[in-house]
Amino acid sequence: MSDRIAAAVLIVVAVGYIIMATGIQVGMFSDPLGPKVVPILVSVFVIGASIALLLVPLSTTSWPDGPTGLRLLLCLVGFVAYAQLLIPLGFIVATTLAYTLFAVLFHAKPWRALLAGAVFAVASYVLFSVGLDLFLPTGRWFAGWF
Amino acid sequence: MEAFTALMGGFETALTPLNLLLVFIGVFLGTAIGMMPGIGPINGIAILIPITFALDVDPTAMMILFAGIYYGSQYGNSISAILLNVPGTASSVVTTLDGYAMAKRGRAGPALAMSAIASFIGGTLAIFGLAFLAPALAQWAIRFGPAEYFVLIIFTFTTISALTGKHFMKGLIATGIGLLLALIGLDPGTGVPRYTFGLLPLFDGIDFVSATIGLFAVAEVFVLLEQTRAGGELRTKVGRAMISVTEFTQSFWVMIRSAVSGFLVGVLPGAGATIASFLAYSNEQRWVDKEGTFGQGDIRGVAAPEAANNASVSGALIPLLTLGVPGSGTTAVILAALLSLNLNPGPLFISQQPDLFWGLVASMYVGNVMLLFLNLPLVGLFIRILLIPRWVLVPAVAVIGYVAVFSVSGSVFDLTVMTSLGVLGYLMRKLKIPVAPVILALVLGPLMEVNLRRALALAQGDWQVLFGSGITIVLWLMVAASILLPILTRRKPLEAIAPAAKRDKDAQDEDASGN
Repeated sequence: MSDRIAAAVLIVVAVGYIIMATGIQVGMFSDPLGPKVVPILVSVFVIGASIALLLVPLSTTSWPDGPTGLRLLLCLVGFVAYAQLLIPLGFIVATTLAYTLFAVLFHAKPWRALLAGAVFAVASYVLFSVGLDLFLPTGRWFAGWF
Repeated sequence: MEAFTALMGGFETALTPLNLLLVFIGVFLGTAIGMMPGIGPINGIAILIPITFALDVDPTAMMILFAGIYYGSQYGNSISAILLNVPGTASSVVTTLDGYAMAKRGRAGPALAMSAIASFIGGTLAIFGLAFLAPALAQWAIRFGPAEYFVLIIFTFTTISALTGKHFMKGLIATGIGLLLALIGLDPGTGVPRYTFGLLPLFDGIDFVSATIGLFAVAEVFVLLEQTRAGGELRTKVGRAMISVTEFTQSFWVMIRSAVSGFLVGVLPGAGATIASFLAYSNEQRWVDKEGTFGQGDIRGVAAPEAANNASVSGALIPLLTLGVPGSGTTAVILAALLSLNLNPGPLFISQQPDLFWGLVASMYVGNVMLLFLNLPLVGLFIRILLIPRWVLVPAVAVIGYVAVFSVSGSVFDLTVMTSLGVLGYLMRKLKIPVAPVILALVLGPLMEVNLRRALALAQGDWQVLFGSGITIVLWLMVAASILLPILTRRKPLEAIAPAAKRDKDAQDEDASGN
């Protein structure tokens, strides 16, 4: 069933690609093929392969149960939040929080996770920012510390 | 003779203090990365790309570092295969058969030593192959025009689709997904935006570093979170990592044969270290396993795959450097890094960048010697890495991936792309769609389109140009063969070769390491 759903989704995406390709504006000077043909060819290829998968599903997929699914979802939330909080909170705080969340999801004791997260955040900040001279956001709280 | 002089010049490049340091960092990280199940060389290289760009490392030094990680990982992957019964990367799956059996009998030390020695012999022999075959192939490849390149890229797509993953059709779908992603961005021919939805950061296309880290490292976090099975019991009592003279002479020709076959498999696009190791193991099973001891802790069963997978790495560098067409996920990422530095690997690459090529070749000799030391006397230190609990390691890898992307681009958008592709990678892994073809297609997609359009522009739009030369016709026949063989044989070659390894192969997603 999962194979069929994936194939159906891909067909929808590829049809969308073809519709969008027909709308691409071609300028006065273009090579014989132009920018439309390859996207259409690729989409037709994807549609063909997906139809084959739709007709003959190849494998079954076992999806995670409720509790595991919840942990996966929390992990995803962690990734999204980490990206969004990196600038406002600064690297050290955001990284400590993200690391702690991930470690707890992997069954670490919360206080150990927090400690490891803080140590890792400070160490990697020093390595990347001071050692390698790369840009990492300091965040409002820490401005002026380093 | 000419090659010899050039190689001596290469040693001058490789033996500068900075390059020596980078070889060491590369092979050290490579061993560590190769050892850790779930983290393959493709992650290590992808994470280091933005850092080397930001530090303005010169291209020769960068290649020395990346190659070190690449072949170093082929040393490290057998350590966890032998001690944990969990292959560090997919190419050491067959090493688990005899390696873990030896460890269970208290012979982990000899197994580790054999693996290091076989890796060294396979690795160094194949560098000879690289040094002599690459310039020759480059001279021949001068005849490649846009039409030939287009068909060669199609051939790469069909072989990688046929050879990674369980099902050919799913490999093709993976390639298709990569091609769809590759279309996002400004059209290379006319500069019109395609599939950007007006988002400015998408005009440059999907950043391959974010894509690689997302599809491999981030997806791996989800996969690891889901599985609770930890593999076999870690055997830390290794004993002396040494083999006897008899064991060495007994395995000598096994290693030589496996190195040659592994090297040749590596040169083929789409067939990397994993195929090389399976093929060598099954060959030797037929050749030397008269008593049927393979699979029960026969030391030759460790020697064969380890010599082959190391040899294949040098082989894989040949199409990358002489044709500019990589054959695997990891080499695709290296190509993308070279292209970002405005270096275009191809037939003229070796003659235009002799310092880079020969410096790289020489550094690989140096690196293999270092690896022999790291993996023989110092293997006890590396084993400690396997003792790091998962809750420490996995978050660290995830966070370092984010830092690498963000510290250079400073773009939250790239992080969002990375997370989204992480979800895509996880779904693909669940659906048993291989991930490595996506990266290959993402990198080669634009080259495929550019060459197709150039070929047709030169021929005033006449499609017959795609069949116009002997080389194109041979390549089309190879495309046909790569499509027909998996359909006709109906069985995946890997499973036919080593059914015993199938269980592990299913458990350990085979292309997660991007070999």
